Amino acid sequence: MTKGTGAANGTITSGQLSKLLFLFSIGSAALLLPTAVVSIAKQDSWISMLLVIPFHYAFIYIYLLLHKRFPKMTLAQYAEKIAGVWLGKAVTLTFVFFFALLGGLVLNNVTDFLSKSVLPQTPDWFIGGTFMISIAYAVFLGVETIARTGEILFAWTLFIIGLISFTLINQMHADNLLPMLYNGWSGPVKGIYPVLGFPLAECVFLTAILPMIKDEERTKLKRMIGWSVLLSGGVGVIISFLIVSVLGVEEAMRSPFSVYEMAKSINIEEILVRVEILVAMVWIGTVFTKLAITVYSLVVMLSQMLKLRTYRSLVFPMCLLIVPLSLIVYRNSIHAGTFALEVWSVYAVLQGVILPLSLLAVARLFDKKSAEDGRFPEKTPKTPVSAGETADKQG
Amino acid sequence: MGPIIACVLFAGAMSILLWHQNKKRQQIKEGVWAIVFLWGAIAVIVAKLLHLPMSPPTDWVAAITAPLYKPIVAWIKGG
Amino acid sequence: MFPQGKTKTLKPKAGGQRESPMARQHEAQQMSVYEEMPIDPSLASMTERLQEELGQSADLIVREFGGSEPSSAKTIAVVYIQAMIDDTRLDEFIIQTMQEDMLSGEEPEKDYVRMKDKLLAIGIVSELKTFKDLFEKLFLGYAIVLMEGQEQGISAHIVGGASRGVDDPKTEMTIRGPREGFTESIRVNSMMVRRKIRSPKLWLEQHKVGEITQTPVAIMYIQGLAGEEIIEDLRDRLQAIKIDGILETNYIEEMISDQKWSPFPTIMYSERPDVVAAALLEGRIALLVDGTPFALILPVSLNAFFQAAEDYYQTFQMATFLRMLRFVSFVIALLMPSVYVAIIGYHQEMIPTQLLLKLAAQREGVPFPAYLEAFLMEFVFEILREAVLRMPSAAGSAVSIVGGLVIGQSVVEAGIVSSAVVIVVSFTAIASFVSPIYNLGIAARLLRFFLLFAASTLGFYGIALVTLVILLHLSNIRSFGVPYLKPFAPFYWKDMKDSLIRVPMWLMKQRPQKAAEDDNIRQSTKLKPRKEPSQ
Repeated sequence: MTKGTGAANGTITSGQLSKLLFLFSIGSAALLLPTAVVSIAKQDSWISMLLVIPFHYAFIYIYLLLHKRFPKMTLAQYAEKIAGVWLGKAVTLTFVFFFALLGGLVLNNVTDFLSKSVLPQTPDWFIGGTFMISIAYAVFLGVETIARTGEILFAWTLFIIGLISFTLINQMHADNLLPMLYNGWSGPVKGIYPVLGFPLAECVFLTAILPMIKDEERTKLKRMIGWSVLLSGGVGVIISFLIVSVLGVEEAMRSPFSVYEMAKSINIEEILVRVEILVAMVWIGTVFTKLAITVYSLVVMLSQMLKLRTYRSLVFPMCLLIVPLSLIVYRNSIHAGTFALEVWSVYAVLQGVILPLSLLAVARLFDKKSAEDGRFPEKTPKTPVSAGETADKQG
Repeated sequence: MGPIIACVLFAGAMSILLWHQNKKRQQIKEGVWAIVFLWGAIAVIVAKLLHLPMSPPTDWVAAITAPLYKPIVAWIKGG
Repeated sequence: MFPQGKTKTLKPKAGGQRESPMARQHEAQQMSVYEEMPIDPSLASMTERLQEELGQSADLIVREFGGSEPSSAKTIAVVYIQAMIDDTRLDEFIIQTMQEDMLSGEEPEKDYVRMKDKLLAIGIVSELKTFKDLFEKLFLGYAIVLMEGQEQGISAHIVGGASRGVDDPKTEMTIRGPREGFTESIRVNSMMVRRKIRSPKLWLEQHKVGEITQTPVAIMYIQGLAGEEIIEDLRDRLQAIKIDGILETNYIEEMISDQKWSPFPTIMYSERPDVVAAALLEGRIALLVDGTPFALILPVSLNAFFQAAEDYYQTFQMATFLRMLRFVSFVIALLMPSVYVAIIGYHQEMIPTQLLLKLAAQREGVPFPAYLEAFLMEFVFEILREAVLRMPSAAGSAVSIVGGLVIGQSVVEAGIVSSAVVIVVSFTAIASFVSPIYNLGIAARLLRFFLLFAASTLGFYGIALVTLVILLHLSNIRSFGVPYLKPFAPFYWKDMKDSLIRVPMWLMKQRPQKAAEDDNIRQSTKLKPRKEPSQ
């Protein structure tokens, strides 16, 4: 490869990051989450989604603060700086476990959905396996490629969401939303609980992706992320609003894939039917992004913990691991439901908020900062690099 | 039996591939770890094929966080 | 008429040792060998060596004349390749020279200088010191003048030789717009481009590529608009090419392309000087190769393959409509067969009941599953397409009639495939012709088979996955450093004005990003048509 080809590889713009964040937050959350929230907050679930927005931004703010102290390092690296080498590695290990588990859970969701609605006769491992092959390809290509693909998926996703919302207007029954605040604010407030874990705390992936921002874009970061949070929050509100008004509370609570069910009922003059395929496509796109980012964070953190020179060698084994993981992670769908609803939020918040917060506190206390560049080079050179010129620099 | 053998063979073939690819770029450490994780994954797959009882990792998490989530959930369901 | 000039023709060498073919081949490829051989001052031995090197080729003409007396040794030789030079001018020159008294060979130095001056009258003159210089010029259509006792030769540019005249471009037709297309001569082509861009900043760099063919290759760009690193990169890549011959731009394209394995082209080609000129004005770089009317344009993004020259020669509404149409056709060409297979195989509930019944009735008795049908028909169609392309034009129409009516009809009636498949395949084929640049159509043709396979195993999910993979691939590719999916991703709002839509001219204020390095404003901002102030 000569000079021109590798130009600016491996860095993303703040716009791309915010779009990725959006897709991540929507992915699997927009399809699965509304059911969980509705079962708690009933018809006031849209209020819950509204209340969640400041929490979302607050969580991300923690990562931004950490990012400001260590602009070019991921959590795996600065954990070691803050807590010392071994404790830092232990911290990273918990994150590795977290991301791996998350990957397995997400893959389980997808496989479940596809298996139930579209491909009943195909073995689950095949569905999961083929999905992971494309994920492996994406992660292998690098975060810049994922970001660019994300931009296109973003436009497409927004379009479909707009289309769906618009076409559902004639199916809405606004009285399903009443009585509002019947039990006072306790309903919506409690409804926040599942969302905290899913997707809010999962945004801790940002600790692995933020260092990849192009230098000149760093100033725009806060603003872009702000927009992204608003947008994903807004979409969350719209979707839960639609779910309840179109399907009614009882219906919405019943199926785990309520958004899909809702899309099935779109019917405009008998012409625009069967639109749920589009929803499925959007869903696959967003889940793809979410999984790709998750696996990327997983592999990057693991490689940095093991002090490897590139993350690419671990991509394939990790993706392979996630497939059986997705199959053993839930015993049955009841288990899935209760775990996602009850346990995950606590675990995710512990891992994704409390832990980084403590790191931040310690960093502040001892005024730890570092401007070192710990990023991996995007493409390891084809010809062997001599020992003295090791491509990445570790802390 | 058949699928298990297929898996093991596959793992073996991939190990060789990984080893050579990494050796070419002088990335021995990366190659070793890749192979380690590869066999880990294969172990899980084989265990699943043999229908060995495996406790889901979600249970471990639930066990660890039990003191936290149980009261919260009770509050949500109750109040 | 020429008392002392003699045209030597050649007789085959009698007997004589020939080296083994391998060794000769190897030697022939070493043009560099000739670098070491200086020009021999002795005229006689020089001409003999020349003949030997060319194996007494019949079209190597050596005309000798001079000498103080008819019978003395010749002092001047003119060497050239027959039909590569302009005979008339050469003859005139020889007649003139004969009448001079430099033929005596008595004052070699003065004669040499006078000869050079004379030659200036008929063409560009350069000095030759080695055999390499000599051969370079000889095969470019120069006439070589050798003088007795001189260690240098002179070459004079008297290029002639038959070539195709400027004609319609055969592959890119327009309704409105210029009708000239490039020819096979690199000089004529660069002239055509210069006619469009009469600026001193339009620079041309000439290189030679190909060990045996020594093909002239020219890089053209507008200095100040084109990116410096890309030009340097291009130069490096050209110099790195070690190949026997360059016969067409594709040889170069493959060797310098960024993505050697991707079906998507990262370099565009065109037969039209106006397309090339437009690209140059956007800060791109053009590559001309002698011997082919197709010029290369780089760097290029996916967008460029949906733009046709005509977009700018029609109204912007028309252009926008056509652009979107092209894009949609591309998607159809890519996805239609696989969508058909997916629906028939996995998602029958998507089809309205009436149609479903008809389709089921059609497929009654068809022995093959849907994907096999689609695959078979696609394959047959590809064969047909290639056949029609290669047929001499007389038989071409017969083949299309046979292919279309007879095969299509009979195959359906025989019950081998269902008519729905034939419809799908033919429509796909038509859609794939809409892309104005052929390269992209090829990518669609190849990828279609992957998608078909994915659809047959995993239905819509398979299509979605493969589409994602293709999207990832496209996001990853760069053309000389420029991301392939600009302006869609990374998202440059300003560049969207010329992608799926074509915004009116008076709104196109800035040049495309990164194709242009230094200047970004391409026209004055006051071009919007305004109402005349009323009197």
